[in-house]
Amino acid sequence: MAIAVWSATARGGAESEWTAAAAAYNERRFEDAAAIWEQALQNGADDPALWYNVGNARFQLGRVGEAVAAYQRARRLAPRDSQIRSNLQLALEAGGASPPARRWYEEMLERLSADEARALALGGWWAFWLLLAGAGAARSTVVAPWLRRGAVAAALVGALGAAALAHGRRLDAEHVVTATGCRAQFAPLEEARAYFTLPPGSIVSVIERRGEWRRIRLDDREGWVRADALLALAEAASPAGRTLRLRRSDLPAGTSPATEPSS
Amino acid sequence: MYRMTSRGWTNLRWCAGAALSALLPVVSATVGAAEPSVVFDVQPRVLAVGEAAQATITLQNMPHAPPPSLPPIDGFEVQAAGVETRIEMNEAGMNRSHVHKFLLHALKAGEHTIGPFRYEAGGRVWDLPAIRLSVVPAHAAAGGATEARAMARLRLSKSSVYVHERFTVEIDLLFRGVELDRQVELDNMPAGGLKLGPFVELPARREVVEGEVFEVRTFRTEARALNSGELLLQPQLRTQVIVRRSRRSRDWPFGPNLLDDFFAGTPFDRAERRVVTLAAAPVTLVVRPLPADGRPESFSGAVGACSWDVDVRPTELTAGEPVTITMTIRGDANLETVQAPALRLGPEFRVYEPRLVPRPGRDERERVFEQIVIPRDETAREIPPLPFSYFDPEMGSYRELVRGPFPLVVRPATNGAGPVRIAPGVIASGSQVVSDTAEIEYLKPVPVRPRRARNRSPAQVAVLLATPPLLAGAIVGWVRRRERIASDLALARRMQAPRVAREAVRRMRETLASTDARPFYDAMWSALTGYFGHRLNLPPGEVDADRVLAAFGPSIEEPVRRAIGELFAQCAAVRFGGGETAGAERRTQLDRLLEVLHRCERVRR
Repeated sequence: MAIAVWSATARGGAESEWTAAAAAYNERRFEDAAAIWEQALQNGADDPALWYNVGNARFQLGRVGEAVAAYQRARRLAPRDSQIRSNLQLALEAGGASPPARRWYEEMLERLSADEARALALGGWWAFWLLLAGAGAARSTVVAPWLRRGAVAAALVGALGAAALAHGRRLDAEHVVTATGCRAQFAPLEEARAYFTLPPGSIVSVIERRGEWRRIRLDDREGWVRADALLALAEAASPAGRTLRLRRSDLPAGTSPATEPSS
Repeated sequence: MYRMTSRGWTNLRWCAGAALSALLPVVSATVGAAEPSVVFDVQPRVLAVGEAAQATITLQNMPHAPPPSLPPIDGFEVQAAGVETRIEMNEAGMNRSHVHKFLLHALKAGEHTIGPFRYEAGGRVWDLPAIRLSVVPAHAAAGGATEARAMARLRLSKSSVYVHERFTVEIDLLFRGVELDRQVELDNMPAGGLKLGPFVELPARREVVEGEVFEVRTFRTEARALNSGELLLQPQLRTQVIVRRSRRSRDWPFGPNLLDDFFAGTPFDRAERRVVTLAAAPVTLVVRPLPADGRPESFSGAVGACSWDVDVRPTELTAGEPVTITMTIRGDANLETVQAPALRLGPEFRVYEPRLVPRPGRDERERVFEQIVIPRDETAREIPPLPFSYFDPEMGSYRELVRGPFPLVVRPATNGAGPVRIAPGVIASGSQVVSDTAEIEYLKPVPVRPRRARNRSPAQVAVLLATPPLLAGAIVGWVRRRERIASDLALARRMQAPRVAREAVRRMRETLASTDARPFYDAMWSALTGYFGHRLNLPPGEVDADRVLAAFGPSIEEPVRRAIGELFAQCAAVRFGGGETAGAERRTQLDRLLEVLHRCERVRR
């Protein structure tokens, strides 16, 4: 009884929360709407509809990079959802960014959601061993060859799921450029020359970390950008979290620019 | 294959150096046309007697200027510290600087003024401004003999603000006589009611607090309060104190710091780190609500002084063609929450939703909206005045800005223009109003119980992965064993031998206390014949000591062989000779039988 009451209360609370968020969105209070959905994501929810709505709110607020990150997370959970793909494309275009270049097999693997990949990998693994055991147990019967073929098929399915999982891990480690006017440099130094420009929403891979600098790869180009210009997809739920990691100045202690007033 | 000799290598280096030397003036002359300048600076500006500050005179783009020198300065001993040449390439060209350095050793405490100075070169004169230095007595210096200290301090640009008014939050980390980690985490800020921007660290400086010199790191951000009321702020800074263990530093040929830095954060890090949490003194922020009186209808939430510009293009068009209204709001306000004012146009216009224009590199203090309106027919004569209002916290009142009206010349449509849809995102001109483009899709209904993140622990994953092969192995092993037992009679009897022996031994135990010895020895006989018959696959009726020992061969030890023979003989003597034995002797026989069975079970045959 108590559990039923608690469940009904929790359900009612969640419903009213979503209603409030949708109302805020429709009243163009996008920041309030985003805050409610982001709070749910920070509390452990990982629903494609939530990520999608957060992406819409951020997009309406002009936070294109953060919107792309949210859409990308939604796409990982529901990769064949046409609305998510459409809005991701729109957000990328709005920021001036291009979708990351993928090979044909990567595009194929990205059509599987994280849950599907996990289920395929695990189901294939279990089916492979059980069918193999069945083939071994019934080796002298007519079903044994079929069981062996089934084991091979299950192994292929499991391998497909494992490949999709591995590719998904790589996607989860990607970062999105959130800063405007972000430029990749040849070296991790303030005074280094700029190599190329990264529009907000660009999806990049981080291949090296050095202090406050990240070496990123976009298509075939590599360069250094400041860490605070990037948002990790894994942290897309709270781009401006309450506990803040502060950035340290590169200037040596006890020095300041000549324009800084005397202390 | 060409192989570079040492002579060839030397020649190549010489040629490259010569080419670079020849090119540099050319590049300087062509690219580096930057304006010469002179910059004077002294750092740090707070120091103790005995410490030295560094004065720098930077000559930019003045390659042939005479080297500057500092005159004697009262309270300081001036010492030249060399010249450094810097070459910087940027989009504007090349900058070549000569930085002349001087060390100023503080000799006495007090407030000192360095300069002003005048520098002349190439017929031009530069006036270098005076710089004030604070010199405190030696005992107040950082890292001196006094105790190590670290503390946090919170500073707000305003103690009383309006809701959504922007203000500056600065958190200082002051420390002396202690080395702190670079990473600093902020905690204990209010969970709600306050919107903080990203923190940036200001250049490090020094400050005298209670007569002591502290190193100061300052973190600054912009904030705004979301609700009215009083907000108690008491942030905590969490960082790590680094205690260097320099006992073996002299052993390192490269010096201690180089290796310590290299191994920092690794298991080989010789520094000890202790987490410290520094709480700032609490500060109460009073947040006032926006007044309801005098609130204009066009108010859309902007708090802070703003400017308002509106651009309408094109102004001459055909009915059915789009007009782009570009609305730009600038100012020191909460622009990230400000929405485009609602347009109130007549029925002669079809009005689309305004869109925020994301502009790469745009100023955070500027927000640009674009809105498409389409005159339905030629009766649309103008875009009426467009108001925008904001709340001015300095004045404590609302202000309304109005732009327009914007006259239009609308020609009648010559043919039936189809409906248009507006592409989202950057709408820079009417050319981007296209047919059949996708719009941002609407919200999705969120399930009452949204999907939760599923992160299995490594142990769960290991169990899920290890279970199928183990299960498969167990199934196959079990099936194979059954098959083998079914096809191999000797193996089947071998498997049954312990069970038969256990049954007979149980009967022996039951008859252990009986006055009649025969049942005990009958059971022992069953145990011997049953076990060895199955164990060695001997036909029933052909199980005796000689056959058993022959079947085992030399694989069992001599004491066991002797015991088997004696057990068989004892059984035969009692069963067929009618001998009597005491209970204690039967116990000994039972133990001996168990020992024999145990030893035989361990024999591989």
